[in-house]
Amino acid sequence: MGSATVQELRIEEAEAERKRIMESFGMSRPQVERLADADALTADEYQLLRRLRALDWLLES
Amino acid sequence: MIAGEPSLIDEARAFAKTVSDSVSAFLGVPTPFEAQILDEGDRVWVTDQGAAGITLSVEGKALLSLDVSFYCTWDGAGRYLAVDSSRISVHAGPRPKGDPLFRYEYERSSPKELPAAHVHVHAHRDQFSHVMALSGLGGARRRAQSMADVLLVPRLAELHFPVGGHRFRPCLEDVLAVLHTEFGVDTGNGWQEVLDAARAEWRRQQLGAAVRDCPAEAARVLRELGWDVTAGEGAVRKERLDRLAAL
Repeated sequence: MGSATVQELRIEEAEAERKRIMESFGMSRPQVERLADADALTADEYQLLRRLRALDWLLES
Repeated sequence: MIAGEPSLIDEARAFAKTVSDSVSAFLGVPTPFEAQILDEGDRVWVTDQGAAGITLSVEGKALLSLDVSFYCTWDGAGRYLAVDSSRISVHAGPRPKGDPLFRYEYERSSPKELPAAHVHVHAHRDQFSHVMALSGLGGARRRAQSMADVLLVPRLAELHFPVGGHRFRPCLEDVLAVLHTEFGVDTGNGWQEVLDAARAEWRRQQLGAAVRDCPAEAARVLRELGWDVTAGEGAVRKERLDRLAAL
């Protein structure tokens, strides 16, 4: 019943996406995390934050 | 990675499919997962497709949501995909949006004083905060990064509850099952058999890893069970006490 796909990203794409997301928040990363802790993000913003966390981790390698 | 063995992409897809099988069976609706990889990297993020979170219904009403992320990389030998960290959180409302009700986490490289696998409970309990404040610089307060952190009211969410360490931590299927047992989340037909099979497979894999941590004890128990086990030339005898003793 389940299914899975794989998405491959180029490093430049991942870095550009990370930059775009941060610009869309218009505040520092710690501020965004604090808003998430306070449950003050919308579901769409939280989705972006999840993406941001993942991009950070992927780009660390 | 060893030549001829599955690629990171193959391993990532297979793992994402396994996770999707469990979640889909649990919910009774197809729930695709996605593995994201950098073209020259060795890390994989596995999450629900679109990463919008997974809605959970109680008596047909979308009341809760699930946020599942597995951060994976090769194991030390470069042969198997290993979970470097995982985060499975349950939120109030149909989509995750920040502070969850609780979350299960695993950090393979967690600091020694913190459990590798743990549960964070995000319930706000004034009494608990009071006790934590009274504990002064102990526990979570001691780990505070700055005076500003120390002055913040302590939160229950800062506690790391141990749940079995590297080898015996709960799996996704455990969290899914408790959602049905404790919250009455709607499920698909036959979910329990699928989850039981996935949990059994998970524990077989973990048992294999545990045997590698402590081969002499594994051999002793097998002998006790009537097996003929002898250490061959070059047999690995060293116990991995760091893994056995870790929180």
